[in-house]
Amino acid sequence: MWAVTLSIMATKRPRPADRSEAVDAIRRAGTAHVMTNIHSREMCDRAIISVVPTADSDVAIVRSSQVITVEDEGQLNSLLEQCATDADNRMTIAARAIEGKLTRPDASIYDLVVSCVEEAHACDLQPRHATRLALEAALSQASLHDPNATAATIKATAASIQNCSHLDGQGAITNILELLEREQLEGLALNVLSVLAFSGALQLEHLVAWRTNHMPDPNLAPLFAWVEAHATPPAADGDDCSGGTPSIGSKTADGVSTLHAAVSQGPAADDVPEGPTADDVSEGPAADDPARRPSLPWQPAATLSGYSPSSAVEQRAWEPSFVSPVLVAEIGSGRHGVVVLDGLVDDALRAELLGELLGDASTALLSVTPPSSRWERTTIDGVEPLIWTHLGLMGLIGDSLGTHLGLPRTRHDCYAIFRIPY
Amino acid sequence: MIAMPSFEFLTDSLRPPGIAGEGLPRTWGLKPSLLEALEQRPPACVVEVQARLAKLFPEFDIGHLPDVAAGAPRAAGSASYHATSFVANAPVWGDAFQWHVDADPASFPGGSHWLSTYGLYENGTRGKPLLVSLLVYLDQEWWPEWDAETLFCDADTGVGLLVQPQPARCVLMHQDVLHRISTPSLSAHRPRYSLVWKLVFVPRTTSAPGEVGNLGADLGAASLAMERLGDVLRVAQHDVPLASKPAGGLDAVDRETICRPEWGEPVRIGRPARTRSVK
Repeated sequence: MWAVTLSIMATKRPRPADRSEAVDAIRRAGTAHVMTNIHSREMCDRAIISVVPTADSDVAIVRSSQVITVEDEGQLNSLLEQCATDADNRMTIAARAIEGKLTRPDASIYDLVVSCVEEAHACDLQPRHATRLALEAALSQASLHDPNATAATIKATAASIQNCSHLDGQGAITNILELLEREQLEGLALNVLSVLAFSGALQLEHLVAWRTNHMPDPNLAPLFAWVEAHATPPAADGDDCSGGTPSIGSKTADGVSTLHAAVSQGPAADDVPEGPTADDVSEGPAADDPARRPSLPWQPAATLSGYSPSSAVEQRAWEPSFVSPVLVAEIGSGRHGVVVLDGLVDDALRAELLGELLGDASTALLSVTPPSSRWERTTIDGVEPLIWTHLGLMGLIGDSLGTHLGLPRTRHDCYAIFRIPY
Repeated sequence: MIAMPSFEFLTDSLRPPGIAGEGLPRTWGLKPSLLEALEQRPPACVVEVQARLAKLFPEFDIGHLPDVAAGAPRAAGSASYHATSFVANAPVWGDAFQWHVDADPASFPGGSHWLSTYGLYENGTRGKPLLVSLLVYLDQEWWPEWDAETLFCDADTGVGLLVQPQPARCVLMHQDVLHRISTPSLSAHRPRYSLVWKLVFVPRTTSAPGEVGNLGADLGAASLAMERLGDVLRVAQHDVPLASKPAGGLDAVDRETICRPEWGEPVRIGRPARTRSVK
């Protein structure tokens, strides 16, 4: 006879696998705590309340709100497989919801992690799933220009990174960076580490210690600046909130809600089977302390990997020597560069690019206007932005004047302010 | 601090009519969803161009220009500074275009993540991301009499240059260069198709003489930024004696540029970067 100990989490969203009470119950437990009445080796530590040694074995007392029994190991494995499928389904739902929430082009890694925590909770997933979703999203940036980076490889890499993050101390960071380098994803290191730091999967004091003992890539400087600004010494009283890590979802001792424990994860996670309450999470982004929000959630490396010659797939033979510079010029006192190049794009590539713009409208080339199925007359080329080059730093001053005076800042206002002679 | 009435007076009196293009007809552009798809799910031909560009400029990491206003406080009703990472134009006869720059890091909004990261700087400042646009002419044929040249101008001197479209021709430009499209002639009887990448070239070496640093958006910080940027500009333009410049010229050392040395000395148009003696 096998037993599975369970605990119940709150849920906000219809779930696809509710047809099976057993699957649903096991999923709700997060990690299925499988054991027999004879052996307890499979039992997850997080469920153990206490262990009492006896003459012939240890008796583990576990916390359980529900027990499901299965007849044999085969039935158990089948059940667990259904649980895994169920989790995948929920992650897919969460991923779609996250994608819908992060439509703004200025969405940051911090926003991503917040959304992942929220949606993972809404889909009745565990905090580690939120981290996994955020990691997959961060890593998917590598696929923007690298067709080899399939969804499967991204998921595998995310899993490996998450496994690395379970290591104690600084070893986790070293291993993650080495893994990224092996996968030629070092350009995403800042985003990946930011995901782990913001989600609480990496403890900030470990990041600080790692930085002390290593010479980190300068690209990671923004994260470490944020970490150092927010890392606090571990609580001496056995506080289990990740040693003061201000991860998303936590409520700190000073009452500042930063969303935390939600995102503690893995084998070392504390046992909070019921997870954050709906109230906790719903107040997440709104209660997100601006002081803790990283000032640098964005970095250009997010889209760089696909631009590196090593990762971009070059399908055609091309060398820089094929380029013929027709004109190399610098204009004005600002020495603005203008270079006219032939040979960077050949005719076949040109035709493909044009095909992308025109689609199947092969007759478009004979038309006096572009195909309306793909083009619209809404572009203003020359208005946005204004002639900033003339205005220079006055823009900032204009912003400040507007802010100080409480005026709505419009382009017209800015332009007028910019023209104030200094 | 300027008083409100004065502020409004300046706002009204200094606003040149039509500066924002009121009343001008919109022009043809690829639908936003398709532009986003070029970035999010780039077709092989787009990837190929990007790979070639990366190969051509190995000293830079190259990426799409992000939303440079992200993080900046934005008043309700104000429009975003950000455009998509791609722009596809199809000017036709009768269109109207204005002089503009694509972006200028010296005028990015205060409080933005970009400003927090890189500070205010002149595009081309050593060690700072260089904002570059890549324009590719896509028509299979384009005759000179069909016009639609791309025009560049030095506003200080009122002179400039033009580039006639030719099939597969590419134009790389610093995003702070003043430019505009010219309208195709009536005889063209067709749009002139072009695709523009909005790019950021991040130098792989990060030494940055004249570092501006992170700045807040308050007026004091802005004034400080003015002073500091002034230092940078002086170093870059006039204040370093020619004799002290390293071999190869100051240009090659102190500025980030798309003008590769192997392509020869750039043609200077407009106000010279530095005064040369004619004695």
